[in-house]
Amino acid sequence: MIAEGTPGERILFTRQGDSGFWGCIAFPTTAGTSSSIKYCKVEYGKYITSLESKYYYGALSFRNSKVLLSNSEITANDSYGVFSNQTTFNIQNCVIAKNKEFGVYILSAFTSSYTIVIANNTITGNGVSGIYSGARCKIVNNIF
Amino acid sequence: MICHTYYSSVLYNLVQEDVLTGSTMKIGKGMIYNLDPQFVNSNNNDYHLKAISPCIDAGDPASPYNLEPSDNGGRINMGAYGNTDEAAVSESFPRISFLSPRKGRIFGKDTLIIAGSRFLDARGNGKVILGDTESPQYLLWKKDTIICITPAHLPDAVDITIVTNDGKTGYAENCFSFVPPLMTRYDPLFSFTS
Repeated sequence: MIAEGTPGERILFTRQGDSGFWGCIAFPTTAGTSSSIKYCKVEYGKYITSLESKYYYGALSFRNSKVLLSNSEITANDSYGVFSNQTTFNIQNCVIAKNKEFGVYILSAFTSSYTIVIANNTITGNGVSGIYSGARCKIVNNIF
Repeated sequence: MICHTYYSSVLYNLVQEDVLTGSTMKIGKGMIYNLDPQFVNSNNNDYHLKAISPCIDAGDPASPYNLEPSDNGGRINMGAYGNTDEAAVSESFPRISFLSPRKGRIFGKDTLIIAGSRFLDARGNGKVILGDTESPQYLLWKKDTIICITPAHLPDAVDITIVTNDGKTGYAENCFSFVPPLMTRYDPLFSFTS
């Protein structure tokens, strides 16, 4: 999946109406190896309890995929903002704020030696924690 | 916000709470703790930085900053708009990025170290004001470091304001606390036992 807006025209993923939450944007194993989310806004999402028998906890959820997440806003979601497992991905220049639980929750990277880069993000006001990671990360130039 | 990570290197971030946990996490250089990042309006989801933000020009010196506006200070900003054309621009007033200690006695006379930028090379008519009271003595004044003595002050959390010799002002909100001394209870029943 490639979802790339522009600075002036962000792609908005939101709910219909003024209340409630929707599911999530899930990147399963079959999502491909060159996904990109850029200049998007994801709000009022939740999670999916079963897709290919797997749980997708975040409004943006990645499993065994390869994604660049940049210049986007992930806010006001009803669970995690971003969830990933065994994924090759970087997060840069994003606002990840006011999500109900974790801002970013990383179970593991694609390989144990891979370093996930989380650079120049503002990750604030999330209910449980800014980042939880069980993977090797380089966390630089962020505001928590 | 709490940052809970494993196997990670963490450097040049601002953390609004002094809480970083993780058994193998490596904390590197350039961290700023417990200072307000000075968002334009976080209640209205505007996380751009005010011109007084300590996050301006405080990112990793090795990170590119060429996409920031021309008055970029030669160094990347922390946060979501670092190295973008939405980055807050550098302005020529003092900015505080580190304080030690964060608490002092109400009687004053504690040594306070302030690190930051644009303090100018010499003090001249510069001053450091804690709450509403100026420091009574300055031990060092350099462009990036001030060491001064705290004044006496009533118990309170106070702002620290720096006024440089050219009249420019910068401050950090509620960043220093004056606290009364700990009272030691003397109990004769448990003293002088043999």
